[in-house]
Amino acid sequence: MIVGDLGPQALDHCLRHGGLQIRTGPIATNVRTSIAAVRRGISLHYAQHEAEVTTGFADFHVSVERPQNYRRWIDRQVVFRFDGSQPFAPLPGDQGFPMLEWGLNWCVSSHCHQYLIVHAAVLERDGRALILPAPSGSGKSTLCAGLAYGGGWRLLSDELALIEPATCQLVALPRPISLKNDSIDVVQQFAPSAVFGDVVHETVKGRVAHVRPPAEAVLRASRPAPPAWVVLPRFAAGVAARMEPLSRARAFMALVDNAFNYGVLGRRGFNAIGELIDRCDCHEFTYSNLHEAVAMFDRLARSEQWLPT
Amino acid sequence: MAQFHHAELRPPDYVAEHGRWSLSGIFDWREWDGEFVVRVEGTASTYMLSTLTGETLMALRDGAAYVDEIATRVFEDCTAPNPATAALVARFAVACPETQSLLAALATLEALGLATAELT
Amino acid sequence: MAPNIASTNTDLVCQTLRHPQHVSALTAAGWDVLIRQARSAGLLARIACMLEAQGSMDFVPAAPRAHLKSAITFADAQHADAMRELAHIDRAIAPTGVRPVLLKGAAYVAAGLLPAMGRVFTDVDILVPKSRLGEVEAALMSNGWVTTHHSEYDQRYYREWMHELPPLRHVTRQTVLDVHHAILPDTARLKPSSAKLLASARPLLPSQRYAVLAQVDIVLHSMVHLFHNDDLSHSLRDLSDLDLLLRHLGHTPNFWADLVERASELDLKRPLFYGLRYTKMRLSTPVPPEALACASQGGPGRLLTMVSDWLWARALRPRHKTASDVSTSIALFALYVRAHWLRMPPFMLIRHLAVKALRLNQGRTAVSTP
Repeated sequence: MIVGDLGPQALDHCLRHGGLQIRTGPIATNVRTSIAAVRRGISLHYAQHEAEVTTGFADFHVSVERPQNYRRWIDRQVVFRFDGSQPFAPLPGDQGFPMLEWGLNWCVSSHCHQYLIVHAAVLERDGRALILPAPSGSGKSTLCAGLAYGGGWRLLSDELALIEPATCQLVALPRPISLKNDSIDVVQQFAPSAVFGDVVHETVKGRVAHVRPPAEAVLRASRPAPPAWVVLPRFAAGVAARMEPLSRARAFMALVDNAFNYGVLGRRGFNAIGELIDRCDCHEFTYSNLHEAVAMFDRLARSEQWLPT
Repeated sequence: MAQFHHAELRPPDYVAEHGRWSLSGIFDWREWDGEFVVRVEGTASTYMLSTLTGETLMALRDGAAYVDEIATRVFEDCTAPNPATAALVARFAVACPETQSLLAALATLEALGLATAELT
Repeated sequence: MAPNIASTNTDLVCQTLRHPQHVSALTAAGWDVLIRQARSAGLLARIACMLEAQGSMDFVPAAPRAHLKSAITFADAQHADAMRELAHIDRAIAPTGVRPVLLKGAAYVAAGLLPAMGRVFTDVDILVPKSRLGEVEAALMSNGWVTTHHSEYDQRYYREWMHELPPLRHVTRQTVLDVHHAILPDTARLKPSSAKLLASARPLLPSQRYAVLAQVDIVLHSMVHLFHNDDLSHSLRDLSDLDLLLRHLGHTPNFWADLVERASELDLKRPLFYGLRYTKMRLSTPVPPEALACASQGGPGRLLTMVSDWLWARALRPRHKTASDVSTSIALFALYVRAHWLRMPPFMLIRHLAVKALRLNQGRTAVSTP
């Protein structure tokens, strides 16, 4: 069954009571909420994802609700709960769906130490994975959305690169792509077919909206991909798109710096990144125009070895 | 008049130049195109090392213990024309600029917890 | 007997700790409950280690197995971090000449005791003589540790009334260090002599500065900690630690007789009574009947024992909604008040609870923002 098979009343009932168990790649999360905006977001973004309503085994149990105290009605807040505990401070107003997404990222990056988890976007083309490690604000998500929606790349994740230490394979975890401020407009123009959820206005990061993952990405989520490229993206206003070689050692350090659980994996993490870098061509990429950027990655995918212009 | 009888009273520079260097603990390393990355188990820290520092580390790993031995392995061409002279130059820390940079590399390795020197 | 998960309020963690082999009968829903309960109790890594040790990890279904293995990975990393932290602390304290005695998790890991298995902990606890406390604190602070709990009330609470400094946090590593000078506050009713504890402490290795308490003292401290702690969030984990200590050390010649005798000597007969009674009750610890009989002489009367049984049966469970009911919060509150009652005179207790209640009303923010 997929989430889209549930009618609105059934979905609402499920989310309010026993919870809806949504599968995203290897992770099954039981989600409960009584907040309408969150339900709308789930109905839109997870329509193609496999789901269960009966209780079995769920990797995580989460909920997004209004607080129990007066903040339920006055100066309203939303609270993310992880199996009864509250890992974050409440957020204001109608940030319920972004809070769910941030919470789901936190669940994986804090608990799934069977993977080395890097803060990166991951996409696949012709059976080879592209890893875009970068902190927030680097233009990673905009680029990721462009490649997923207009570049012929399959989305594995826009936030979390899940690397199997033994094989270096990238495991897919396709979820909505989170975009901020101007990126929202850029991607809407670039990919008119992309489906956007509500734009939320009051966050500390400004305007936030999510883009539904392409259906194909969700359908093929069970297929991992071997690593082929590590590219450090950087958005810089006004510059022409530029792809430059990056030394493997620097690419290695970029993965270390962007890893969530490198410290937990210790020597195994070092060796996994080392082997991954062995198999990858590494570059730095600067861009200001999404069309140019997508075209350049197209060339990257079609060439065996990157040749500077 | 101060007499330096005991090894511990020697100035650190002296120990570095004339002492016996050895690795101080477990580490993992990789090298690509002359650049090294290393993870120090003792501190759980990971660093990128320059070619010189990385090659110095490799020399220690391969068994070189004194500055002249390390210099011989690390530098393909020192200013001195032959290894014997290079050894002499290194022992007295005279005039060879490479020796100073080698000592700096050793000091880096020591600061990172990878190597130590002692007077024998 | 297969674990029963049909009813609510089931403690699968205790069932698994008692009979790890019964996990083979768990359904998917059962595994769901067990993983969640174990995680909330801080025992996921321990259960994972037990299953690995008995060779049954490969037979665990893939989805829960991933969580178990992830927990082991995390616990191993924490152990390595703890060992590194001990080296840092050692370097800082060395110039004072004080020999710190390791307590609790750090002691189990450093001394290779059975409760090191899957033990997850964030703080390091050490015991130093009260007379050297100032020197030790100064040495730590000049090496990057800073005090926490900055309000005047909190500082007084710890320094004057409790048996430890306010927790110290290292500025760069963000690790927490608790420096104790006794295992119970000076204001508590029970008075286990720190001097005797320190005198019997032995170095981990002849060459090392760190020491641990004598074996029976480690056990007694574990009991004191469990039954006098106002923070009950880890009570089941602490009980499991005690259970493993008793299983590990119980084979030492004369252990049980020494334990009873030492409890008497240190004025700890009551915690000994509770410790043996509740490990046996919840985790089926193999306590010899003679030891139980001797220990029961230190117990309270029958009525009070029944009340205790009722309270601790509810507290010594995973802190999770699937293992609780309405009586759980009543029991936890009663034990919270009791812990403070045991630590301080009545007038102090009333004032302390009032201050805490006022703080609670002023609002409490959770740990982090996304």
